[in-house]
Amino acid sequence: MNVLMIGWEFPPRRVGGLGTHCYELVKELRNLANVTLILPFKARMKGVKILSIPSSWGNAYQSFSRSLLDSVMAYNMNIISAVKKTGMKFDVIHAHDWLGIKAGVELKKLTGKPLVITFHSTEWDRSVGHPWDVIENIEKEGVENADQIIAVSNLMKNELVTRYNADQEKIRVVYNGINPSTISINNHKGLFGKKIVLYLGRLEGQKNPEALIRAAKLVLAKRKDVIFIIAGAGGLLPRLAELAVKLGVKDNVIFTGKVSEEEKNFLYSIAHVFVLPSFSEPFGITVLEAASKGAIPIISKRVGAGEQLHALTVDSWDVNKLADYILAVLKYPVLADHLKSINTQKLLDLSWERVARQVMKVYRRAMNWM
Amino acid sequence: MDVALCFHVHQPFRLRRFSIFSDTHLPPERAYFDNNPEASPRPIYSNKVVFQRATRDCYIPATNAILDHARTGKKFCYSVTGTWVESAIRFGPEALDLLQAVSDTKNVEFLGETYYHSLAGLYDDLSEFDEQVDMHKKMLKEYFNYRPRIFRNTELIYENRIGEEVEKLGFSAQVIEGADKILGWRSPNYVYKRKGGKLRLLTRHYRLSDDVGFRFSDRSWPGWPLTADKYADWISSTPGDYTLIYVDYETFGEHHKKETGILEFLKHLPDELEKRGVNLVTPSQIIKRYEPRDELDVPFPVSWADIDRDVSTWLGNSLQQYAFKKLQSLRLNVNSLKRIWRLLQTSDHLYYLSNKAGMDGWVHQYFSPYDSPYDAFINFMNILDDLKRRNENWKKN
Repeated sequence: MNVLMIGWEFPPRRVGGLGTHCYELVKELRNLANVTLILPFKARMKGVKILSIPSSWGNAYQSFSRSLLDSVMAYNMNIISAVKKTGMKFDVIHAHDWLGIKAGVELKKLTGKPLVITFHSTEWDRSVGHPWDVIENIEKEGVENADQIIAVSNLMKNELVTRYNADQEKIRVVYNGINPSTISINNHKGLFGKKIVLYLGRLEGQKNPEALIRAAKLVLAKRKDVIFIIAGAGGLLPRLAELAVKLGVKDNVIFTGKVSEEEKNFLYSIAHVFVLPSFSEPFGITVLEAASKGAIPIISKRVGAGEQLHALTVDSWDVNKLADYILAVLKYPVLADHLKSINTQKLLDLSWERVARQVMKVYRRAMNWM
Repeated sequence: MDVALCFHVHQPFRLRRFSIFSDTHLPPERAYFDNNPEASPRPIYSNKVVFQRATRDCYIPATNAILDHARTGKKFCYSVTGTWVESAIRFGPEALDLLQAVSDTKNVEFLGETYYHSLAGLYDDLSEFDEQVDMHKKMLKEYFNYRPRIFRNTELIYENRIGEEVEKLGFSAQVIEGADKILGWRSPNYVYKRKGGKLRLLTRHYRLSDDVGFRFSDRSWPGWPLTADKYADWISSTPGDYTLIYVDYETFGEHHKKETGILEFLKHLPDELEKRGVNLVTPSQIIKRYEPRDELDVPFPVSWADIDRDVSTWLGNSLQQYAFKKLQSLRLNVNSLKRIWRLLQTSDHLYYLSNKAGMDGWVHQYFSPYDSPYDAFINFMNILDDLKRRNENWKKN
């Protein structure tokens, strides 16, 4: 089977879960199919044909300004003409999020080949409920034209159904995976005798890191030996720092800025608790990563990874409960041990190889539907 | 053939959301228990709302049906927990009035048990168990003017050690689960006795009981629809001395809603049984009529719960075992706090910590006011710690 995949992020140039997903998926898919991956920059992977097609890629992801839309549009148009020009052959087209929908839909029309779209999030999630209709319309177009849709969780699926009136029948839920060889549960948590509570992700509204700073205030009122590490970069940083000062918790809160892969793994391994209080997070691969190093996830009920792992779940606004749960995990080792052992079992079943096999099934379905 | 129809009547005092930041100046009863729906974040699980719904859907219609039959001399058997009676007094006095009316017919047997529907029978030291059994005896005397002769433990939990203790407390028999793992090839339709003692053991017929308790409204079950005459046929054709049917009282109108026909079933069953020559009897009549056929040796606890029929529903995971240990070892020297401690011993609180079915198909969720077993664990431990703190503060003052 020949797969034409339209990507956007890819290591080492990745900014989020989409990049991780693409990389790991293609790495497994290459054993099952001939994959041609289109990216807006140069990259390499053995056994995969990577086609780099220019866009006005810059530092665009930092803000959702017109420049991101422009570069995505340019990218999509360039893809269409490049495929036309080379007369390349493929059996199925696979796009991720709105970023490759325009090209995907157009190529489907041109070639009559089936279109599969994976939704990792929607404009509604990323904009915290203030979507830009231009992007919404692209997503809607994708939902209508896709032969099969992959949703990264049931949360995502339900959102596509309610927001875009998607046909349930053509949506498959395929959860994100984890590389089993990276699972290493660290039982020697902490740093310099302190308990570690970790947030790791972009510092932006959708992820709601503010909740953790507020919870820190409550936790520290009960015990002083806790350090809150806020890892990641983003527009909210100044506000969060200001809040930490205002609440009088700055001595126990560390902002690391952007972290490397190595630093990330170190932080997971020393963290007792991993917190992701997002308002909307269709999956949240970081939850799997953190759990694979033995950190106990406390996540909002709007985080899709909670469907796959056993996590403590809170409403994103419920700072009180978040603090209560953090204290409970620190106080009752039996709770942490229990969750660790259950989740280790669960993680072993979540390999990317399994993801790739499920995606192959979706391709087959899409092809038969034509 | 004789048949005993036994009903398990129980409600726990469910807990409020109690965090480490909760107001600890409230008296413990108000701080811990979800008795005020107006102050409850989930009123549908609030004790008053649950009890009133059960009263409307089950306690009143079902008890009325039984009352009519009891007045004509048919026999029934009830196990009523202390926490149910307390709930009834607070939230649904008419449910208790009706049950007292059934009791007044003198055609009812009440079984002894622990007042708090607790797991005290599994404690290392059985003195707490003895005390709770005694409290329950006093409750039966006060409300039903009844002295129990036959015992049933919480969720029919039984092992040799419990049988020995129950015999010591003066009971002549105990109702237990007719679990395959203790009966082996033997039938649940005969009287047995405990190994090395006199205590008679009456075994619940779980298949026939679960036909009503679990399967009644299941349309994919080959037995559906289950009518009173069909069920009476099944019972009358069961070989042996007696059949003991034992179900949650809420089966009638709550677990299976009125629309399923369950209340009509209950109404007609006694007559259909008599038509077929099956006598409705009390467990006491059974042990008077039939000699024990064999001894039952039960070295490990069995119960009527889940498929496992053991105590893993309450003590199956490490969280439950931890909470149980902490609960058991809590020693309070303040009497008013001791009562709170006992209310926390109601087995339901540990049941909510079970994740046996996994999060995916969480069967226990139906009965649980919590987001997850972990949520239940944290809430329970927060309360237990707070209770301990109150006790220590009291000592200091």
